[in-house]
Amino acid sequence: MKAWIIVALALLLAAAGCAPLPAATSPAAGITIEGAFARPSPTEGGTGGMFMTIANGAGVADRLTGGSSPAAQTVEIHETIDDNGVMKMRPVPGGFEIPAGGKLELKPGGKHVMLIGLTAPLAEGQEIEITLNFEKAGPITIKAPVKMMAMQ
Amino acid sequence: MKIKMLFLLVLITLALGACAGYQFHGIPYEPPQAAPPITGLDQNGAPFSLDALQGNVALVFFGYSSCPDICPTTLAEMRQLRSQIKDKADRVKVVYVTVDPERDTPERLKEYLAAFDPTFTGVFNNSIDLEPIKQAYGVVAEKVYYDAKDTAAGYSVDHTARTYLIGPRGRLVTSYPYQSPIENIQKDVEYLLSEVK
Repeated sequence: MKAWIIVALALLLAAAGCAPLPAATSPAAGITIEGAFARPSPTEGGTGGMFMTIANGAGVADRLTGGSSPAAQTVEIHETIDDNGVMKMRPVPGGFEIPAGGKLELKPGGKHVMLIGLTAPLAEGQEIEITLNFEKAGPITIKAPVKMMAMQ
Repeated sequence: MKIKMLFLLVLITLALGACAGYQFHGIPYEPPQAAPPITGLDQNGAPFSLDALQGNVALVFFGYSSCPDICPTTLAEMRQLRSQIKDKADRVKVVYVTVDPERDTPERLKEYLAAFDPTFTGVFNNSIDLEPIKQAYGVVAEKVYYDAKDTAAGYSVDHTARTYLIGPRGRLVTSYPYQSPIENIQKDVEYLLSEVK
């Protein structure tokens, strides 16, 4: 009988803990997005790069497959490869896996989110909204600042 | 005996090191060579020539304004470098040569560079005039068309992401690979600036 109450209480606590979640976390699958930012891109209709760290606290692997944003016509997943000093950027239509309990780093000179066909120039100091799609966690909407460097 | 030999070796190494003088970072040109000419139109549509920058230190990068990743990163680093150099910043000229004459124009370069640092100089050439500049600097820039089903990006340009350092006397001194530590570039720039007042 007592054990029942404890389990019920624990479940209640767990549920309560889930309620006031920060915007960038999907409780169900444990996806957390940190340090997201976009580079300035002054040309309307141009392209912009976005970078962030995505952590997967869930017990199963997930996958970043794409997204959408009011800031651009199209959101895609791309990767830059350093081929002996020559930088090659390629679309990765299948997206990237985030291993169970692991992280996916999207950073300058590597994997990144591409904003294609900017609806307005991205200026330093602005904030943009983007919805990222995950195979298991579903869509997660975040806000990210536009800035020059990651460490600023 | 062995210790004496070792001591001697250490001394010789130190002496040789002192003889070598200042060691530039990146991949230095041994010996430095006259920087190949770069001409074209700047972002205001006025004629540009690298020669006109003599007396200054020039940092030259080849990129394009639809480049969302490598080029903004390098330009942001160049901006940071200039802000760290402070009072001598006006003698550090950043030159951004577009390798995408099809999509870029002087106007577009102006818009693009203003977002980073309006003192940066953009250089535009048509594809015929661009070729000898690319060749002289060993710059690879190839248009790669994507499969339309994979992306809306159209094409991108695979390009060499090196930054070239040109001294006040117009000598090509070294080049840095992508994301070389800014501190190293700054040391080299400050060394060159102190050489020619």
